[in-house]
Amino acid sequence: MSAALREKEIAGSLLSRWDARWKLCSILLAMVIVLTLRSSVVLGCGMAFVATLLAIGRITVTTVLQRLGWLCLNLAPFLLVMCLFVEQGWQVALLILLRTILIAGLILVLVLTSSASSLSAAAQQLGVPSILIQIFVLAARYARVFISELQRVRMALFCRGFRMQTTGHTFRTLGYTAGTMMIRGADRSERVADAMRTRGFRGAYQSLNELKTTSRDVVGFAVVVAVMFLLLVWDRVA
Amino acid sequence: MIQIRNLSHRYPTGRVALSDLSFAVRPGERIALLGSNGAGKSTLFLRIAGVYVGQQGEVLVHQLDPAKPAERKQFSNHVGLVFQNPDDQLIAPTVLEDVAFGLLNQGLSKSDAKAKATAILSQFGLSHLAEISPQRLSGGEKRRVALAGVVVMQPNVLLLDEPTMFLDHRGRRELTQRLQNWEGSMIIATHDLEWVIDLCPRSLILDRGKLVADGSTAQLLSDLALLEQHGLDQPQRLRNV
Repeated sequence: MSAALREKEIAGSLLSRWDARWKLCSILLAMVIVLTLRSSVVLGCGMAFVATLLAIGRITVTTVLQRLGWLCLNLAPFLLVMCLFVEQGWQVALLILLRTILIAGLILVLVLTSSASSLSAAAQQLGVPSILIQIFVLAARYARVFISELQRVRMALFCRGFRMQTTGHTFRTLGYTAGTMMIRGADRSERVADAMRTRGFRGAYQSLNELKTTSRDVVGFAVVVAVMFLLLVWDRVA
Repeated sequence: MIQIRNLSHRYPTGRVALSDLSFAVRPGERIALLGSNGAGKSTLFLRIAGVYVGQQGEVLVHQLDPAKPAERKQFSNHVGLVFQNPDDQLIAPTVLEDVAFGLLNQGLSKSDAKAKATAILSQFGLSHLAEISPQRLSGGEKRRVALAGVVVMQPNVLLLDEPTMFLDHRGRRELTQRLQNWEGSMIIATHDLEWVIDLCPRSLILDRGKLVADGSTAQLLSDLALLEQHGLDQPQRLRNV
């Protein structure tokens, strides 16, 4: 999720102007309702709704397909096993796939139309435990540091003639790289903690972001909740 | 201002990082902390900043003792530490939030913290980066933001760990000017001996955790035998003197 998070929300979209507290509440509620849906037709309609939200948020199709593509690729082996070895497994697999895509779509709506800063402020004001907010803020910040470090390591390996193959040497090298990254990560986490302490950190992360609620924010919340509630009712009747 | 008496530090691995150090820093004094890699410079800074406590020896900053939990809490108001790698220090989602981080921890209101952070960013010529993620900054910009985030807390003592790392010539010049205007005490750990000649009248040389020399920078850096003995090179500028 942190890799998907933008440092600054997609500017100018209706969803980026939505108060992050209302956005967070409505998306979390929508995710809970999605988990309870059992009909693939209703889930399909839910996907149309999420697609609408993504369009309103001005999130490009390429961005969505890239994120969801990776997710589906990772999910595919499990779904395949389910289809092959479980009785009527394809139905269960389809349900799991639709729910996963829907939830991932909702997460994309949330994180691609909000800055890490506004989301942390929203979570703080909604009473989310400070430790979770710290984890979120630090993950959002250091995921990018980790990725750029990994890229540097990959370039260094390339410059020293390393090429990916299905050999023991490749797997051993990947193991060393993973180990090195873990050790560096552990070292860095200690230094980050020290740096935070020297700046007076005592366990509660505070954001500068001031959030203001307008009637438009409440209407947005009401629309999302109403649509999701209708889907739930339809699901139970169908 | 800073009193260090018989200070030693041993890491849990058994490695002795500091061994029986004693020195004092007067208000407004600028000191260079020199020594090869692993000499104990960063550990000494973490002890002075009150991050590491509870071992042999005594560190007093403004008569505050970090060994006492109540006094340790006040350390961040008096001692500002700028880390070697700014990526370790810049933790917030935007530059402005990061500079305000320490102020909010000091108990300032959001509006006051924002105003002060905005002012210091303007003073450091970084206003245009206020809403940018630290990840997007160049090495020099990160270094300036990290320094701004510490200076804004108005500490009495500034500890700088390798501050010229990641800086080009222009960045070094700007940093030098900024540090020369700093009125509080300052200790700079660096390998850049050329740079500290004009900036720090006094130097300390550490070698394997021991304080091996304490004196005027010009004098110490002219002592070729001393420098060679402790793994340091004489600055080019002093070679022909």
